[in-house]
Amino acid sequence: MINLGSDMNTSAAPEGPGLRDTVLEAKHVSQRYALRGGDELLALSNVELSIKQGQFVSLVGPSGCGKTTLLKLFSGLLQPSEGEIRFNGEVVKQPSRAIGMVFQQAVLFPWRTVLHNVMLPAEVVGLDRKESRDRAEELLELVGLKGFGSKLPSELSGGMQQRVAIARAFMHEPSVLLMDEPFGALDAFTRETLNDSLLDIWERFHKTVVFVTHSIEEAVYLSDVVVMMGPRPGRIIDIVDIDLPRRRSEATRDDKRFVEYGRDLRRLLNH
Amino acid sequence: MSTTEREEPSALTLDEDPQLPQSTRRGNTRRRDKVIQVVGPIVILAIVLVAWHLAIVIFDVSQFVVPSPSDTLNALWHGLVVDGTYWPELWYTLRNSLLGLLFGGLIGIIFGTLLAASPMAERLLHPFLVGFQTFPKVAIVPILTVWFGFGATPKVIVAAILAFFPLMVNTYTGMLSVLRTEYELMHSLRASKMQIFFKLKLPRAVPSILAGLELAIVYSLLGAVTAEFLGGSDGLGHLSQVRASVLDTPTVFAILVIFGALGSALYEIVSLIRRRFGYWQ
Repeated sequence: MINLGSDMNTSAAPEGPGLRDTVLEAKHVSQRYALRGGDELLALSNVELSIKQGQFVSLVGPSGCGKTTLLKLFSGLLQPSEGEIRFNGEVVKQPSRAIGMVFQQAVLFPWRTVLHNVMLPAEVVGLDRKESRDRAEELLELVGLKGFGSKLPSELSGGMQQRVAIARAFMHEPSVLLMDEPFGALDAFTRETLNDSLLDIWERFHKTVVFVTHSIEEAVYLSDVVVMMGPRPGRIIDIVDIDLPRRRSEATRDDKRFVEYGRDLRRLLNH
Repeated sequence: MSTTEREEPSALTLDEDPQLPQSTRRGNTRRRDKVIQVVGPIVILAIVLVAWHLAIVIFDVSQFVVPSPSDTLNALWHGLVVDGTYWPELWYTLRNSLLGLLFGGLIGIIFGTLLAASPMAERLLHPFLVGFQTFPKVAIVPILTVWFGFGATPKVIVAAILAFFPLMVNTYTGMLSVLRTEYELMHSLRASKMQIFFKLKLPRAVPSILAGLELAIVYSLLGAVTAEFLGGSDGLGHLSQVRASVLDTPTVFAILVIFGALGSALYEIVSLIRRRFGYWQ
C-alpha cells in the first residue's frame, strides 16, 4: 500500500543541469571512530542519500544508528572517513553559513538576552544591525515569543528556549537547516506544539530541513521523506516518501495513512 | 537550566511575566529578615565592645598589652580626623595594592587566556606554575628590596604576584567551561577566532574571573602590607610595626580596624562588579 524503498532519493545522481534541485548529497559515506584498544567503530556504513531543495527530511532510528553522525557530516563539522558530502554540488570541507544548525540543547548564551541570542548569527556574519534587530523581533513573533526579547534564557522554560534556538537558526537566512533532535528533551505536549511552530516557520521560508529524531510519529508528522536508519553498523535501511497533505495539523494524526506509515516504519526497524 | 517543568505559553498568556508575584506573607518575612540582617551585626558588635571593655577593667589589663575600645577609638579619631596622619599611609598602601592588582591581574588574565587557548603552552608551563603557586611568595621580598630599594616598587611587585595566581587560574578554568555545543554553534556560523573569543570564551569566563578578582583584591592588599613589614618607610603596615615597637597599642589596633574596613570595602566593590557583569550566573 505504501511505496517503501523508493529509489528516487537514493540514486547516486551525477551532477548535471537536470538535477540541480539536489541540495545535499551523501555519496558512499562511511564513518569510523577509533576505539580504545585499537578497535574501530563503524558509525556509518556506505550511506547514499540525496536531499532536494525545500524538502523536509527526517533521519530516524534507534541510538547508535549514526543519524547524528550523518547530520554532523552534512554540517561540515565532521569529515567522512570514506566517500564525500556535497552541498549544492560542491564537496563539503568545512561548515558553511548557508547551513544553519539547531542542537538538542538550545545552546543559548546565558549572558545574552533572548533578542541578542537570536541576533548572534547576524553579528557573526556581519549583517546590518538595525535590519537584523527587526528581523530578530519578527522571528521571535513567528515562534510565539513576542515580548520575550529582553528576557534572559534562564527565565524561559525548556520549550521556550528551543523556540529561541529555532528563531536564531533562521536569522542569517541559511538555505538548509540541520536539526539534531531539537525536541528530544521536551515533554510530549510541548513537543507537539513545537512541531507545529516549526512547520509554520518552515512553510513560510521553505528552507530545506534535515531533522534527526528517534520518534517515528514526529518524523512522519513533519516530513516529506523519512530516512529509516539502523544500528551496528549505522546504515540506511529504507527511504520512505510521506504522502500526506501539507498544512499538517491535529487532523493529520487522525489520518489513516499517518497511522499506517508509523506502523510500517516500525516494522521496518524490527527486521 | 532545567526549567522544563514550566508551562509552555499559550497565546493568551504570552505577554505575561513568567515570574509569580510574591505573596504578602512572604514579603513580611523578607522584611523581618532584612531587619535582622542589618540590626543583628550591630548588636553583636556592641556586645563584643562591651565585653572587651569589661574584660580590660575586670582583669586590669595594661594599655600596653591590649588597649580598651575607647583608647582604640580615640587613636582612630586622632589619626583620621584630628591630625590626619593615617591618610597618606593608607593611600600609600592602597595605591600599591591596587597597582599590583592591576598589573598582576592583567598578566594573570592574559596568561590564563593563553593557557586555555593552547594545550601545548599548558603542558609546558604547568609544572612551573604549580611550583610557583605553592612557593611562599613573600619570601622574595628581601631580594626585591636589594634590587629595587625600600620604595614602592617591591610592594607593588609582591601585590602583583599574589594577585596574579587567582586570576590566572580562574581565567583558565572559566574559559575551559565553554561547552562543546557552544563551539559547534560558533563553528557552524564560521565565526573567526576573535569572534569566538569575544562573543563566547570571554563572557563564559567572566563569572569565574570575577570570583578570582574577589580573591585577588584581598591577596594584593595582603602582599602590599606584608612587603611593608619587611622593608620600607611608608604605609599603614609600616606604621603599625613602628608603633608596636614603642608599645603604642591603641594605634596598632586602630590600624587593624582600618585594614578591616578597607578589606570589606574592596570586597564590596568587587561584589558590585560581580552583580553588574555576572548577573546571568
